[in-house]
Amino acid sequence: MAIQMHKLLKQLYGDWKAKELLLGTMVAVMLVSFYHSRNVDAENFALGPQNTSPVEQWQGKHFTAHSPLLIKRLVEEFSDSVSADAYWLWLGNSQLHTINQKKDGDHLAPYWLRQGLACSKCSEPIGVSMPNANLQEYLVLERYLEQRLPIRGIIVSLVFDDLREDGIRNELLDLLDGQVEADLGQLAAGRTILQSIKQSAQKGGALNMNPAGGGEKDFQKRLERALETDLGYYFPLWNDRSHLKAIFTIDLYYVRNWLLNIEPTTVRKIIEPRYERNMQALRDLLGAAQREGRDVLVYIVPIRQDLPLPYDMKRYEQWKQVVERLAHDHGARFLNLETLVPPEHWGTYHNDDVDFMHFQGPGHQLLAKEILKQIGG
Amino acid sequence: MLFNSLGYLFFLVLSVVSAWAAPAFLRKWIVLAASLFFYGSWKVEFLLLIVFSAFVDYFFALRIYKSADHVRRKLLLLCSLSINIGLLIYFKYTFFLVENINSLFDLLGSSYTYITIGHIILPLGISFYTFLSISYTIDVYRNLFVPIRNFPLYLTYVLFWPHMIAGPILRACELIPQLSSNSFRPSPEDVTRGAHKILLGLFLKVVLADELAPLVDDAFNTEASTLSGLDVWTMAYAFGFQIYFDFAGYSLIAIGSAQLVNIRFPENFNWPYLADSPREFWKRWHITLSSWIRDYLYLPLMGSRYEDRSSGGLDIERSPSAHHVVVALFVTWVIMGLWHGANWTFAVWGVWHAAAILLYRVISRTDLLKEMPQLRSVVGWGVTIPIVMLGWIPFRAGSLDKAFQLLGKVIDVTQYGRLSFRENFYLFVFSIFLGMLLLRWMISLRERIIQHSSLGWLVNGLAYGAIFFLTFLYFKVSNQFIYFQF
Repeated sequence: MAIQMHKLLKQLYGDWKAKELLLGTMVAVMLVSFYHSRNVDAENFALGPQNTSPVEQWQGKHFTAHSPLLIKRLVEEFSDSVSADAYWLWLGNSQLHTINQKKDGDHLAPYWLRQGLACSKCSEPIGVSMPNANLQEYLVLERYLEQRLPIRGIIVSLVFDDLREDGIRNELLDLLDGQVEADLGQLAAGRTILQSIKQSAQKGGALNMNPAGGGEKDFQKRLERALETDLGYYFPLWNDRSHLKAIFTIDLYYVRNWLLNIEPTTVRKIIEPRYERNMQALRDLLGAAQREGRDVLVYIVPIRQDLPLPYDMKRYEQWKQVVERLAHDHGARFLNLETLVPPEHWGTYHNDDVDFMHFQGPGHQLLAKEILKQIGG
Repeated sequence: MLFNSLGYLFFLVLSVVSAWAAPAFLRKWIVLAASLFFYGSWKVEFLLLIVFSAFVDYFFALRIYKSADHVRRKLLLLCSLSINIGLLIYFKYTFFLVENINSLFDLLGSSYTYITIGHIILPLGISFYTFLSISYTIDVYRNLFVPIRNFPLYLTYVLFWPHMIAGPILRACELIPQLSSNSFRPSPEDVTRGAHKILLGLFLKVVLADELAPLVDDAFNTEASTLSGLDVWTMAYAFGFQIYFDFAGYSLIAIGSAQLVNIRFPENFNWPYLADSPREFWKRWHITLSSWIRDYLYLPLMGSRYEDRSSGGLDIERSPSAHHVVVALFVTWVIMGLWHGANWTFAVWGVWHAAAILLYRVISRTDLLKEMPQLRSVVGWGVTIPIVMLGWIPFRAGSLDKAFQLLGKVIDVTQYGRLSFRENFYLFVFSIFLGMLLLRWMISLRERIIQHSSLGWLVNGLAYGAIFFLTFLYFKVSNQFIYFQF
């Protein structure tokens, strides 16, 4: 057998296709090594290198959360309140949980609001946010938290750009238990969300081997898990693939921008069906809060003003009016804070990277102060 | 077991090495055992069903061969076909039939007790192995093939793991002789060509098809009324590419896996989206299925002489004006559509293609561009590909209502003013389209310029490097192959 194997290898050596595959393998190894050696923090790429996302604490309790895991911890830590209107739920995107060029003593807006509200009988703020959270996700988060915490009021931050996002990200599906689903089923946007999740689940998902069911699912799952574990143990690069893939995606992103001359100020068009679904979610959120007797404060988020905004300005102006009218119709307070944070409190920028969304520590203080003016009394 | 999984790669290496290293008398048994394990790892109970179905065909084929009486032969064939098609109908179409009967009575407004049925699990690959079995019995009936007297060998033919779940659909004359006289020891050429095909297949599946899948799913889950004409075109192209990469990827892995045990499969795809006519498309897309349909359905329906090869595709053009040919064409395509799935949307897809082929036949009789073959080819391609791509809309839509709503958007010129998805979706689909044309052009250029040159292997080597790298990055068990559900 050894002789035959030797003969086979010898013949392989003389084969052009074998040489091509060998060269290909070497090139692939070089590419993997190159990507592995690059020190790119893919996790924070979306936020930008200057940004930090702390979790705020008060008397040992974490009262801001920006991931499903942190949200669950927050619920655990705060669910023991005896008061019926203990909390202000502040919903937002990454602006709420990110500080640009964080310095000692800097805190997120919910922290300053908590300080401002600090009194024995006051409701306490809790900040729940997700990067690029859309309004459908706000609705799901609100319904989930409303069933678990005594919420007195909701502060809803609105970002025009996030209306381009759609659906519920996979990590949030964990929050959808029967009670939340039943609740969502009562709302127009909620039904759309549930329908979309159902269709996605039917179409595939991890290891959905056969639509008709079967033992393969379990067998292959177990086999794959065992092989994955072993590969990861003996060959650590295998486990690092998601990181390498993220860096590769970042490269693709830059290539796309270069090819199509896309700049940070390039106008991002509104995507009509997504816009509609998100606005329906906002209507449902406000409607539910009104029916359930909760106070609501809606505000347009501060945004950088020293550069042209990457928005369709006509639609942006219209949208702000629509939001104001919606808030009025549902008995909610409305604030337009887009110019609240002065230019010096935003991040630095260079040609290919401008952060329109995340401001420095003092910006958070300013934001909290404005919110406090509305709800502090 | 999924081809795009570590489990399969592990299984493949183990099976190939075992067959290679084992003494000659054991190799066939190892291949059979590997095939049984491959299928049994999904649902062991269904192995009994396949063994039963295989035994029925094995038995009937021998009886047909032995019998000299024409009527008896025909009866035996009918028995065999009834069992095969009966099983297929039971597992795949019961729910569909019951649903339609209920709808019909609903429509008639009669006081009718609805038929209800329980949950029927569709055995993996039933549509494929049913066709394989049918072709065996019919070939024996047609005296094209002498039935074998070796049930394990016949079982290996039916269950051979590379083609078991989703083809390519092979004829007995193509596979059985290879299985019966095979050393199962690949030559170095087989190893490298097989590995190359598997790598390419994995690339098509995990990098292209699986990256397109969530975008396509999201798009087709979107409320049809909110979409524009341009959205629907993009969805059609996106799904067209997804299903192509998915199935061509699967076929390449199947062909490559078989080659690793020294078995040759025919090609199943040949740049279908470069076809310049509907006829040409069906010579290039799922070639083994269209060849099967040609020989066991379409030609017999027309009363024409069948062929005996799983290559060539549905390349037929005979007396296009004859009434019975048109009927045969549409009947064939409705069956072809329904074979893909128990839903009227698939039948509509079939009718769409039948209409396109018929139209092509009529137009090609008055060939205005006969003197300008290159222009004719470009125009033909420019018309064929949009027709084929739009045909994927009913195939993927899920319901007739949605399919017609989407197709309505394409026709309505007022529905083109906006885009409903993120820009990257359009960009991705357009890049694939452009990439496909560019790649074909580069291949033809390479063939002309650097033929026999050592530069060729350098270019190929670099291309393999990129393919290897991306496959490594994107490799994950996520979605099943689309054709598994058929």
